Amino acid sequence: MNSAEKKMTISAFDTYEGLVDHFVQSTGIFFPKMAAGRGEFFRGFSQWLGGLKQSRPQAVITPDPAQGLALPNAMQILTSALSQSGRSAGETDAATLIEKYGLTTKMLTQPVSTLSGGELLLLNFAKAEAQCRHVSVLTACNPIFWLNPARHKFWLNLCENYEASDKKVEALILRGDHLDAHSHSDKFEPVAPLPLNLQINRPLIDFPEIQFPVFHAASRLQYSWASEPGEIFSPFLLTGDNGVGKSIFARLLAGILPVSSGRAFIVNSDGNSMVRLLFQESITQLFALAPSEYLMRVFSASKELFEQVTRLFRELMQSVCSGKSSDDTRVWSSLLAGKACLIAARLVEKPALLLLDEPGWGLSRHDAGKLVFNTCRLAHQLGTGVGIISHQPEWHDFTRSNLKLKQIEPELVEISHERL
Amino acid sequence: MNAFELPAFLKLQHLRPWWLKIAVLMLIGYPLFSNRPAAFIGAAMGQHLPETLGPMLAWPLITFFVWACCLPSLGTAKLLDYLAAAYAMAITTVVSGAVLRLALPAIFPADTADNFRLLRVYFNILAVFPYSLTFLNSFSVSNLMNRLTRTRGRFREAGLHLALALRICQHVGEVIPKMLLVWREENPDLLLPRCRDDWHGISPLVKWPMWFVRSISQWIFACIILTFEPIPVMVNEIEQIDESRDSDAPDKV
Repeated sequence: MNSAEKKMTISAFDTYEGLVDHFVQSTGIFFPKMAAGRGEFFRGFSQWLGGLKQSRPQAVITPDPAQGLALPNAMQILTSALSQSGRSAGETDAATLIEKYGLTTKMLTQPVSTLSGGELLLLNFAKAEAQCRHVSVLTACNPIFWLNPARHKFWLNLCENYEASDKKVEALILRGDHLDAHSHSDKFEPVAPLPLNLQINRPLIDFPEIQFPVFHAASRLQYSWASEPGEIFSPFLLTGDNGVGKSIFARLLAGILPVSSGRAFIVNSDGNSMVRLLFQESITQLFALAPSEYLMRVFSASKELFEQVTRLFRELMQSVCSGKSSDDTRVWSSLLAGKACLIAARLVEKPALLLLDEPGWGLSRHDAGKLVFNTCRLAHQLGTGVGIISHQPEWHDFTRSNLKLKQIEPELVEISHERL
Repeated sequence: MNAFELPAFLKLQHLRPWWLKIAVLMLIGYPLFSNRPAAFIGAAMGQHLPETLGPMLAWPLITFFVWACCLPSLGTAKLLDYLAAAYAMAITTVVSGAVLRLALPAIFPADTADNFRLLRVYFNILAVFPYSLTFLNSFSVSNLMNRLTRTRGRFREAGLHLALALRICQHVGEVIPKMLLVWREENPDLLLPRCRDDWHGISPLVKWPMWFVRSISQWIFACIILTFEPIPVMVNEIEQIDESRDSDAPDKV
C-alpha cells in the first residue's frame, strides 16, 4: 500500500445497492438501481428532481463508469472538464491527458458508447484529473474493478495527484475488491470439465467510418489462433489487456456482431452451436424491468420454459444467498437477482456456451464466486459450457482452460490456449 | 464505408458562427413546417402535369431536398441508417392509419383529401427523422459549455439549461444502438420472440401482435429510462460549470 492509498478513505459494501445508496447520499447525485424496475426508477428520479440542490464541487466515478461520461467522446469530455478548472483547453491538452492514463489519442474521437469497461474507467481517471484543480473531493466507485492488474498504477497516479493538491479521495468498493484490506478468497470445489470445440477461421470485423457528429476513422479487428485450434474445456477464462477486444470476441461468438470474412464458432458434444451472452453492462439486458417482470416478458410465449426458468432462477438465488435471508424482497430486485435471472433465462435454452462478461461486476467477491460456481455447476448438468471474460485473477483457480487475447499487430489479435 | 467524399464546406456541423448554422438549418427545414413551399412547387408543377400529380410530387421533391442537404453532414452510411428507421416509422404510421380507416370507417372516414394527407405524413416522417437528428447533432454541447465557463451574465443559466436539454436529446441517439444490440442477443430474429413454444397453428396471428405491442411499450420505457439515467450526472457537471465563475470572465455571452 503506498502513501496515496493510505490517505484515501475506503468504504467497503456487501451489496451493490448498499454502495449505490452511499454514493447517492454522499454526492447528492441520483443513481438508479435498475434491477428494481421502472416504478422504482421513476420514484427515485422524481424525488431527486424535487429535492434538487446545489452539490459541492466534486469529481465522481459513478457505480457504472459509463454514466459519469456525459458527453459523446473523450475529446469533448476532457476539454469540458479542463475548462471547468478555468483552463483554456484544446486538442493537445486532451491528448496529453488521455495518454497519461494509458489510452491512445485515436480514442479521443471514438464514441464513448464503443469503449470497453477498462477504457471507460481510464477515461474517468483522465477526466477526474482534469477536474482536480476545481473540485474538493473525488468519489470513485469500484475504481480498479475493470482494470487489468498492470493498469492499477493509473489509479494510484490519480490518487497521488489529488493527494498532492490536498484534495480528498473516497473509494467505494464491494467487499473482496483488491482495494479491500480484509479481502479473502472463497475456495470452491472444482467443476468437472466439459469439452467444447472452438473453431476460429480468422474472423474479421469492420467498424465503419463515423462522419457525424465527429469524424472517427474506420477500423478493423481480426482474430487468429496462436497455435492449431482444438478442444477447450469449460469453464474457461477469456482474458487479455483492456481494450484488446475480449467483449467484441464474445459478441462475435454470440452472433450479434456481423463478420466481414472468416468465422468463429463453438460446438459442444451434442453438435449444438448456440451461444448466449451476458454483457459486461448486463443490467441493460433487463430492458429496465425488474427480474420477475423480465422473466414473464421473455417467456410469455412459452409456459413450459417459464416454469423451468423460474425454478432455475430460484435455485441459483438460493445457492448464492445461502446463509442470508432470501425472503427479503429487496434481494429479489437486486443486481444479484438481475444477473441470476439473466443467467437462468439463458441456461434454460441449453445453449452450447454461456459467456459471462465480467460476471463479478457489481457483486461482492463472495457473491460473485458463488454465482459463477453455481452457474457452472447447473450449466454443466445441462450440457452447457461456460466462458468467463474477466481481469480478476481469482477465476484462474476455478477455470479449466485459459484463452488469452494479445494484440500482435494494430488490427490483429492472437488467441492462445492454455489448459489449466 | 462511404463511397465518396463530399466537400467539407457542405457539412452543416462545420458552419460558423452558430447563428448562421441555425439560420441555414431553419431554412432547410422550412418546407417541413410550412405548407407554402409545397403549395408553390405543386402549383408550378401543376402547370405542366395533370391536376393531382403536381401537388403529389411536391412532397417527394421536398423530402429529397432535405436528404440532399443532410447527406454531406451525415455521410451515406449514417443517412441510410436513419432512413431505415424513418421508413419503418413511416410505413407503420401509414399502414396503421389505412387499417383504422378500413376497420372503423365511421370514426375515420376515407376520402381523397385523407389519402393525400396520409401521403404527406409518409413523406414528412421520411424527411423529419433525418433532419431533426442532423439538427440536434450539428451543435456541440461541449463547445457551448466551454463558452459558458468563460462568461457570466443573464444568458449563462439559460445557456446551461439549453446545453443540458440538447445533450439529453442527443443521448437518445446513443441509447438506441445499445438497446438494439441487447435486443438482438435476446431476439435474433428481431421481430419474433426467441422463445415461442406455445405458438402453434394460427395462434401466432393473435399472439404476435400482442407480443409486438408489448415490445413497443417495452422499448419506449427502456429508451426513456436509459435516456434519463445519466441526467443527474449531467446536471452535476452543469452545476460545476455554474460554480466555476471565472472572475475574469466578460459580463455578456
